[in-house]
Amino acid sequence: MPLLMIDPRPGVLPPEADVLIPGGEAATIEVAQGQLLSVETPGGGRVAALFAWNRADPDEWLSPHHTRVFGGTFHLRMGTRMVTNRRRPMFVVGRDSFRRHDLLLPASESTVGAVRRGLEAAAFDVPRIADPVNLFLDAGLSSDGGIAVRPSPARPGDRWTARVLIDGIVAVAAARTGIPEASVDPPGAVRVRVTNRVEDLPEDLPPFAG
Amino acid sequence: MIPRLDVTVPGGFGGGWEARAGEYITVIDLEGEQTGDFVAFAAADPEEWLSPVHCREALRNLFVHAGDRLVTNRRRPILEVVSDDVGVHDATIPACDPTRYAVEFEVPGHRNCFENMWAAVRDRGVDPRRFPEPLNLFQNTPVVGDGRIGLTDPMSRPGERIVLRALIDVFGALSPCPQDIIPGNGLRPSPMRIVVGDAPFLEGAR
Repeated sequence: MPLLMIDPRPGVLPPEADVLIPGGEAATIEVAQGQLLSVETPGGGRVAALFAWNRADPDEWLSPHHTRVFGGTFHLRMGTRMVTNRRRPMFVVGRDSFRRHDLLLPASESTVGAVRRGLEAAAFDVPRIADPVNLFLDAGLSSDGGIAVRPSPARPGDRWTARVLIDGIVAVAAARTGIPEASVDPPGAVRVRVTNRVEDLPEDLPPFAG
Repeated sequence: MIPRLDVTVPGGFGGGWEARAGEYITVIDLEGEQTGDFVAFAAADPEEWLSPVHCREALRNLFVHAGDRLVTNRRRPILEVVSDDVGVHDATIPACDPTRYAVEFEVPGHRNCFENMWAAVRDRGVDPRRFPEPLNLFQNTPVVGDGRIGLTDPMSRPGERIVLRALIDVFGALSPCPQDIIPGNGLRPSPMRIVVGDAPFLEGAR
């Protein structure tokens, strides 16, 4: 357990990972409580769709909808607790150079297909591929509810990092978004790291101000 | 207009409804200030449903308005908003469910929209794990400040209504929300009426 416990449990730390997901594809990765999950856009300008399930019970999944109401926010922010469909925190955003991620829009057919293939390859059965958290998708909101999507202004190296609270299976897709304003052709790669120590992550870029 | 279906659902409970392609579905807030959680499924395949998530993509708006064509999780039109007395509805808040009350309010066993709606459609082959996000009729969740969710009561007055038209054969459920702890129904759940027929139901309209 990477967290600072009163009674540290002896034993090995959970396995780390560092995966470069080519454009158009998705990867599934195991994460454990206390680890840091980090998603980065090495080339900038692209969206990464994030999905997650409770490893012990795949009927429980990360829900952008419950996350919005739990945090009282339409967007994903620093410190937001990202909850499941059972309203339990699964991740907390702990570091974020981009600071504007979408919790409102659906996954494209190609994203769902890539995630389904990834889950099958990992032999992890899920009852539902729920709606995604769209990292680096810039969907601005106006007071009348209007949604203005623009090409992702993410810079090369922008990175989102969250502390993991529930042991899970994470799927990250680097497929096309299906949203014309935010589509990049061909879609670029996405890098996902799972680490036990924050010191093992590179420094973040300064916060995005655009 | 002679209703083919006319149901009054008590506040905090749930009711089922169905409509054929071309029929009108009129939902009336009988006493005002009441949210109605509303789900709709394609009669031909309950794995296809009215999807607020996909509506946001299609409409580029958080909310729904008169004239909007609402779409399914397969991005096909399912319902059209024909008329609307209030103009304020929510398509972003998940249905209240057992965990909403047990985890966030320390009240296990509270009535909730998810179980109300599930009970109304469970005999039609709907998998509870694949249950759609609701359209929350009359619910008022404005965008405030920097993209925060405002929490207020509906603006609907007694007798105000919304009329939808089915674009394919559909069935669904309506739950006048039982939330009586936080704003959403004026802290007092009240009944709603749903009428299905070959025309909008305008009797008693304001």
